[in-house]
Amino acid sequence: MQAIKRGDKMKKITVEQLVKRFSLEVLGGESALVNEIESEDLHRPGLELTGFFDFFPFERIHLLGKQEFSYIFSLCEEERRMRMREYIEQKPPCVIITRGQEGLENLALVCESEGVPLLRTTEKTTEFMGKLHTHLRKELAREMGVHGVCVNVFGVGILIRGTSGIGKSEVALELIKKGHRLISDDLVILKQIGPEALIATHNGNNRDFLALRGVGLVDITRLYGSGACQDETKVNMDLLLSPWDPDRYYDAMGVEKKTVQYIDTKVEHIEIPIRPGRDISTLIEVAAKNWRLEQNGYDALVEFNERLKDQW
Amino acid sequence: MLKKITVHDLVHKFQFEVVAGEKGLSQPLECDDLHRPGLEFTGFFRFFPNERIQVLGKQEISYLHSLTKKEREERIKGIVKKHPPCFIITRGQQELDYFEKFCSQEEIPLLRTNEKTTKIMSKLNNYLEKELAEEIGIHAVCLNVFGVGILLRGDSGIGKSELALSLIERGHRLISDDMVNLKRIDPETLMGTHNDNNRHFLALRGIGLIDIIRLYGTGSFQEETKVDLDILLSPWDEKTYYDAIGYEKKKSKYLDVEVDHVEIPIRPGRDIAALVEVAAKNWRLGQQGYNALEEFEERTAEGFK
Repeated sequence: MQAIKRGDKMKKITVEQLVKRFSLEVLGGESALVNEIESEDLHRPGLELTGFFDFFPFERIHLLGKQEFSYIFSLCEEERRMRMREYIEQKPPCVIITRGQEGLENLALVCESEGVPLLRTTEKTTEFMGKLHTHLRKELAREMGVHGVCVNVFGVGILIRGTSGIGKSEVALELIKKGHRLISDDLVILKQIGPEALIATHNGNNRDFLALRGVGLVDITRLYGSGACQDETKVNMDLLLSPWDPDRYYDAMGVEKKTVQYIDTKVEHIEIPIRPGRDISTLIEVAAKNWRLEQNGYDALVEFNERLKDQW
Repeated sequence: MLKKITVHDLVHKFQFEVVAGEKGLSQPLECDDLHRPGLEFTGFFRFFPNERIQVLGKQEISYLHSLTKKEREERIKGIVKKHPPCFIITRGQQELDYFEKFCSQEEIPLLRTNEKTTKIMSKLNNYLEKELAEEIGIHAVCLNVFGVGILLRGDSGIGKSELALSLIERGHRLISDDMVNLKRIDPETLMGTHNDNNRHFLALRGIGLIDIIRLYGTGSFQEETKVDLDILLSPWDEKTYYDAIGYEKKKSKYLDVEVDHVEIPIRPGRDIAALVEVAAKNWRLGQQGYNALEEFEERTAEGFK
């Protein structure tokens, strides 16, 4: 493994944004709609409703479904009031009631006085949790900015890096001319979506733009059409362009497989030395196709070794 | 159609330690949701989701240890008797005396991992969602054109595979011919893939089955794509009025996920591959908020001033 690049930052959204996004009904604690959510995880309180508060997940959104309601209503009036008060006093960021369930007027009062937003949806618990989790995962995805150019070549997401002036944007232009797509030039935003997917996108300001030395800023969609850009791609390969160093040995067989880690994802890494007369865009196309072959279990080096073995 | 995987597949994938109940490893998993039992440990079993994997983190184990020995035995027995597919203990927690006993008795796998509860739950969720994603097979061709996932439908013989070939010739990528497997990954995402048997293959009338990777190289195929646009090819009908302006935005629905829909009438002399390319590019413009019809209406409105 080559290097770990971190510097990712946590993001937040407010309860109010959730209320708008999912058209939730606000039953109490309106003053606390500014509460911030930092965790994509959701929690259905169980033991908390019985008065057990060790390891209380303060950072998560809490949901009350059918099971929780049915438990709450199995308690006598007095106990119910006490438990609800104790539970809300722990101050979860917000509590969402599902299936439009009714009958907890007292809970709304406690939420109001404790400043905990109490929200309601008519959707079923599992379905709503699925949607909410997908939304939070996207909105709260950890992200980082990388200096580079991101392109999608034959459906393979490639992050091109290298020092300023080495020709990253120029190589991207060659690739666009060959029918591939630009995602972002100069500043690439990487997002960790779920434990396995690393997504690259632009930052909004540089969408469609490519900065070419001498020519200036060009709009790729206007020049090449909307088939020449895309908003995001999964990142499959990290490609470093470096000046040719005559004193260095470059592995032309691919004996050593290298990876780079961005946020939580390991990405295959290759380095292409630049020298006049080498057509870099063609090399990148080949790297992309070869990546796909390897994904399918084909490795030319392994086959070469086998052929040699057969001869011996 | 819901696919099935077993507890054994999970043990293999996540390297869980099997603490007890090996005999139950062939238990099928049918639900992609996980459950952290809470109220169940207090003896409350209404709406207990016994079809779900039960995950026990620090909170749950710590609660169990706050009970008396006798209570603990009863509560654990109670939940194991409900026969969930398996229990997973996180953070390498030890001292699970009654759990081991009842899980062996009832043949329910008791698994252990060193990972933290939230982390393993997130990984499990991801894995189960993919493996158990609702899936249907439809008669169609799936391609990726300029990064836009396209489903081509239409009656047998209308030329879906031939159209796919033209698109591959133009540098786009095949995902699946004839039979496309559609998976719902989340409430808004539909993925299209092949069914393994037809991987790389395109069936052309007269020529036969061809292998796209051998003919056009690896850049002409991909394993799966998000499906963005559903295109129906239909024979040109003299009596039908075809909307060439795009007044009406239509949608198709697969597995409860909505996908934009367009219908392209087929007539000799129309270059359908070019039309599909344009549909893909136009879909992208639409995503970015541009609509040619709106601009046209604005221009004409100004003309009236």
